[in-house]
Amino acid sequence: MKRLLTCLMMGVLFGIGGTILHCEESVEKGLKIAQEMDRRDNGFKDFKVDMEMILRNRHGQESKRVIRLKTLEVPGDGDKSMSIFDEPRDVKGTAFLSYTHKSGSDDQWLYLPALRRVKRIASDNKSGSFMGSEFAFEDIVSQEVEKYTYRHIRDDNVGGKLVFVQERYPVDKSSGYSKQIVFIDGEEYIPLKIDFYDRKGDLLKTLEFKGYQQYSKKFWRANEMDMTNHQSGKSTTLVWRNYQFNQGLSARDFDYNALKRAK
Amino acid sequence: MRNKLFPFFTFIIGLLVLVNSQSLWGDFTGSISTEYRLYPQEGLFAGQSQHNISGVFEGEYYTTWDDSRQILTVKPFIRWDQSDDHRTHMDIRELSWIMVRGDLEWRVGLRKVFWGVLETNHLVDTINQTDFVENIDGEQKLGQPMVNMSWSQPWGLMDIYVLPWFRERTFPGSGGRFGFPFTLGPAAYESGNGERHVDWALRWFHIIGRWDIGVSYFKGTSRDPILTLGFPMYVLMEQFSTDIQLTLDSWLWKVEALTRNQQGVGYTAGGLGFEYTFYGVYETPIDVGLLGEYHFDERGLKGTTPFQNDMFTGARIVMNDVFGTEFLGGVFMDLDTTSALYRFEGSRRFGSRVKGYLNVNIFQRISSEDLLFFNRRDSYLEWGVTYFI
Repeated sequence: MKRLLTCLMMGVLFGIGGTILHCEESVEKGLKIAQEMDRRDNGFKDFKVDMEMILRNRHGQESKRVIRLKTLEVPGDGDKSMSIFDEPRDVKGTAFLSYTHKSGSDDQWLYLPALRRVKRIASDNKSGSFMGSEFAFEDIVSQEVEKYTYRHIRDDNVGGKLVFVQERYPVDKSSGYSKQIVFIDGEEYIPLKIDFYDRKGDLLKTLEFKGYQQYSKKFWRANEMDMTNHQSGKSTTLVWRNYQFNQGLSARDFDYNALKRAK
Repeated sequence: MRNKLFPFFTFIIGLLVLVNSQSLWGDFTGSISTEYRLYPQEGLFAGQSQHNISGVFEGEYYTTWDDSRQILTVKPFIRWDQSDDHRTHMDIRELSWIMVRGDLEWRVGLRKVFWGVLETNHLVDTINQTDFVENIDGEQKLGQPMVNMSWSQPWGLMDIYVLPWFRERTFPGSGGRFGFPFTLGPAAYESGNGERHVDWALRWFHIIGRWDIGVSYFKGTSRDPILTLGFPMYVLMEQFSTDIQLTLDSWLWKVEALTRNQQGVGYTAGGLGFEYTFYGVYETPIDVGLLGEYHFDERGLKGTTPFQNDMFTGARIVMNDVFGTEFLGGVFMDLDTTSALYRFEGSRRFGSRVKGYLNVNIFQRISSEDLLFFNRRDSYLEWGVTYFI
C-alpha cells in the first residue's frame, strides 16, 4: 500500500498521465507473479539436502562450510527448517532450527552440543551474516509472499525467453535491504537473479541461481547459488547436493527434542 | 574417583567392539587441546605455581540405527595437568542410548542436561555435577547416570529423570589454584545411602509464541556441597525452579528463580537478565550484544554461591568473519561487598581444524566476607589451542 502511494506521488510530481492506472497495474502484476511463484512451489511437503558453502574473500582465499538441511512445508504458514553443521569442525554438531511465519517475527533456536544447550535467538537478526558468509539470515530462510510488497517493472526478452523484472520491498523494518530487484523466468516462475540494495539504496549484493533441476516432476531447485558482495569484494557460493523430496518428515522432526538430538 | 571410571572405559571398549562386529560403523571424532595459564600473582597457599600447562582429549563416538530412532553416544574426556593431580582426571561425559518411539523419547546412561536461560550464572541447572577443576564458570559438568523419559505433547514437553548415582564435585589438589586453606576431607552425605541415593526430577517446558518457559522440580542430594566443616557435605534437598525467556526482536529477557528446602530451612534465589543485540553495526558484519544480569540468593554471604547480590554487565562481540571470531567480556560487581570479578573470553578459528582461545579472569578487591576470598590471588590469563581430529 505504501509503495502504491509512493508510486502515485511520483506520478503526481512528474505529471505523468495514466499513472494511477499504471501503478495499480504494476503493483498488482508484481504480487500476482510472486503468488504464482509460491503456488508452483506449493505441495513439496518436505525435503532433505546437503549444502556446501564456499566463502571467498577479496583475495580469492576460500574457506568451506558443510551443512545438512531439512525443511517441512507448513500449510498456511511459513516453513520449518533444521540445519546441522558438519564443518568447520569446531562447530560440528551445532544445529539451527527455524520456524518462519508469513507475518510477524520468525522463531529461531540454536543447539550448542558442547553444553547440550538450546538457545532461543533473537528474531531480529535478519540482516546478520549467516556463518560469516555473504548470505544474511533473511536470504536463506523461506521466502514467503507476505514478507515483501512488489512492483513489476518490465518484461525482458533474454535470448527469446521471457524474463519478469520486478522490485520487491521487505515488509520487516529490521531487514538490511531497501529493495531487491528480482529477475524471474517467465515460463517456470523461478528466480534467476536478485540484486540487493542496502538501506541507503546502493547496490550491495547480487545473487545468481545456476543449474536448475526439477524434482518430483514439479519443483525446481538451483544446484548452485552465487552471492557477490559488490561493496566488500567478497563472495559466497552455495552448492546443493542430494535433494530428496517427500521423505515423510513431520512436525516431530522439527520440535525441541529433535533439535536436541540433531546430529 | 579415577579408578571407578576404568570399568566404564572397559565397558565402552566392549560396547564398541560389539557394535562394530555388527557392522554398525558410526562416527568417530575428537579434539586435543593444549593450554597455558599464567597467574600473575603468587598463590595464597604453598605449592601453588604461577605457570601451568595442561592438555585435554575429548572423544566422541556416535552411531544411529533403526531409521535414526536409536542413537548411541560415547564421549570420553581426559585432562592432564602439570601441577594439580586432582585436575588430572578423566570422565565419561556421555555414554548414552536414546530410543525414540512416537512422542516418547527414552534416554539411558551417563548424560548431560542443561536447564536455564542466563549466561553468567547457571542457577537452575541442577541435574549434573559441576566439574569445578575444569573451569570456575560452572559450565563444565560431569556425566550424570540417569534414566530420562521425555514426552512431547501439544501442551509442552514433559521430562522425568531418575538419577540413581550421585557424582561428587571435583576440587583442586594441593598444587592447584582455586583451593582452600585446609585439605578437604572425604565427602559426607545426609542420606544414609550416600552417593547411591536415588534422586529424581520433573520438568515441563513449553514454547508459547515468543516465550520459552520451563518449570522444574528436583528431589534428592544437592549438587552444591557445604564446605564450612572442612569436607564437602552433600545434604538432601527439594527444589522448585523456573526459567523463562522472552524473545522480542533484538531483546532477550530472562528470568531464573528457585526455592529450595534443605535441612528444614527454605530459601529462594533468582536471576534476571537481558541481552540486546545491534546487528551489523556501522554497516559492518559485526554484531554487538549488550548483557546485563543480576543474581540474587536469599542466604546472602552465608550461602554456597559467590553471586548472592551481584550484577554482571558486559558485551558480546561476534565478528561474523570466516574465522568465527567472538568475544565476551564483562564484570561481576558484588553489591554487598567491594568484590569485582572481570571475565573475558575470546576465540577464533585457524583454518578448518584449529581453534585458538583466550580466557581471562581477574579478581579485584575481593572482600574477606566473600566466598571468593581464598581465590583473591588466582587471577589468570589462559590461552589454548584445540585441534579437531
